[in-house]
Amino acid sequence: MFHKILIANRGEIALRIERACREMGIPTVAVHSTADAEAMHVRLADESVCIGPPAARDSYLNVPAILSAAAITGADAIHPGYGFLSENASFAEMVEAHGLTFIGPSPAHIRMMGDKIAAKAAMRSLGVPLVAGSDGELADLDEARRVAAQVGYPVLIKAAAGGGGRGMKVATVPDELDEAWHVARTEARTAFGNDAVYLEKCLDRPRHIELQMLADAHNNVVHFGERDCSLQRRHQKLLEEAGSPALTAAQRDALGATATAALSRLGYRNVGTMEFLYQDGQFAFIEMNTRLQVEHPVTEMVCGVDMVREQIRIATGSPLGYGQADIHFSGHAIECRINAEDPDTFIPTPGLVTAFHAPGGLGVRVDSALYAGCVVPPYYDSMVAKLIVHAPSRPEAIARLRRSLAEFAVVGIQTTVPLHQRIVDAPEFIAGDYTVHWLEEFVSRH
Amino acid sequence: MPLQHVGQISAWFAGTDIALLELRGPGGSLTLRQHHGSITADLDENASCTAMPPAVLDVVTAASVGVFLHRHPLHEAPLVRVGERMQAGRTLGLLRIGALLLPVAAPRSGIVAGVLVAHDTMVGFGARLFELLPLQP
Repeated sequence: MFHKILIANRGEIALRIERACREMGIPTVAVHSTADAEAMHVRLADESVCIGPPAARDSYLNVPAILSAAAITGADAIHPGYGFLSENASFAEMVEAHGLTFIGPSPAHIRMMGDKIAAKAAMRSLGVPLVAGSDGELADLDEARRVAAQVGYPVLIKAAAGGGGRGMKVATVPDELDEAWHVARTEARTAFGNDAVYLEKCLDRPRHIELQMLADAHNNVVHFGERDCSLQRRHQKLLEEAGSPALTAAQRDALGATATAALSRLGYRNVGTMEFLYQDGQFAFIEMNTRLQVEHPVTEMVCGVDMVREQIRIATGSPLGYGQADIHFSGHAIECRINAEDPDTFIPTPGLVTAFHAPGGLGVRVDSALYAGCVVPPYYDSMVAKLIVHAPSRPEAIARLRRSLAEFAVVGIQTTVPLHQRIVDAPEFIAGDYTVHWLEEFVSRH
Repeated sequence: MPLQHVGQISAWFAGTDIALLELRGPGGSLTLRQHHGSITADLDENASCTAMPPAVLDVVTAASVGVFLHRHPLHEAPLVRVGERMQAGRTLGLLRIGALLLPVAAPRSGIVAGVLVAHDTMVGFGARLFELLPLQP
């Protein structure tokens, strides 16, 4: 087992990892910027090191500072959490080159899945269904026109190195393709330094379904079922469910079997999430995230498995110790991402939290680094809490969520709690009848 | 009283909670006053200067994560001592990261008024390491 783990992250996920380490008896090192000196993840860690000024590029993305912090504290492993350096293959390589363990997938797999074209090519060769589109990078606009005509409009032009909706443009008719092509390439070049793009058929009413995967270093692969992450605004997830109200157990099993076989052939290691679009009973792979997901708690709630603990165990070389038949799904879980934003305009609302009360009771979990008197800094992601509820059935989970949201009190700053309260009362949400476009329409209506 | 002695005494004075210090001797007298971290000095009429302008201590902070060393690992003597006059750029201490030793340099010329961190202590970015009484131009 590891002697000491450095957590290269902040906020609720740093706290989440500290909790798993504490239960495993592993001391932790928190790193922080000067803006986070009083943050809860710093207060609860066994040791802490300030690694730079507030800007993320100078602190949480500062690879030399993080490696230096590991060196001076004697940490022998680094957990990257999500975001920041978690999907940076070069960082993972440097961690290993310094004789430390990167708690996550291999650098080669991070790099492969970070390149969306390479990821799709790999999944195609492994028999995973894909969205219809180009076979790889588009050579020129003429090829884009040709492929678009084959698959039918609307189409998406997407950046090979993309993510979070950047470098992605829709062309609903042939006349829009020229502009979509140029804008997507320009955005991709600016955001990622790589203007390679590919084309996909744009599905009109898909759901976003993802599978939680876990693999050890001995080629044992399992899945922990699906999450439905269709409630998104500007490609950012706001509410997630496990399982999906749209899937049957048989569909989950079939998709899971395909996914585990693919990752086994790939020789994948540690956690990963395979993301699919689902429409008309068909799944189509879109990308794979080679890290712990923000929404992993809903999977933990229905499976009763600590994902971070599993990550750490696997990173030590331990075998899974169980198979797919040992994984059981119990009840239904829903997570709301509570952001420090105006619930109507979505403008970030950093500032002093003067009072904080987290809901509780049976089946209620709050993952947050907030406390009364803390300051939400303006420099980072606006998510400040995750409210997760678990109940025997989806209707009971919704009732529990409604009750918990009413108890949630964050005073001093505005949060998106009121938006979530409106969502849980919406008939479409209650019926489970929504697609990836529903939330945008719902927000514009309210 | 030579000016350098005034500077050295001021540096020592800066490290105390004393508000007023008067020194009298055959060569004259020196009065030091400390208020909110600012020091003023008055020499009597027979001395080579009449007064020091108000002085504010500079704090030298860690520009990197590291283990602070007040002396080089191969040497017994500290790199600097309190009261010592420094030229800008002179190495005051070291930050050790693994086998790497990073110098902590004086940002400007001055007198070392305090060493704020013990030898062989882990420090983060921005940690306060030294106080310097700047030498007036």
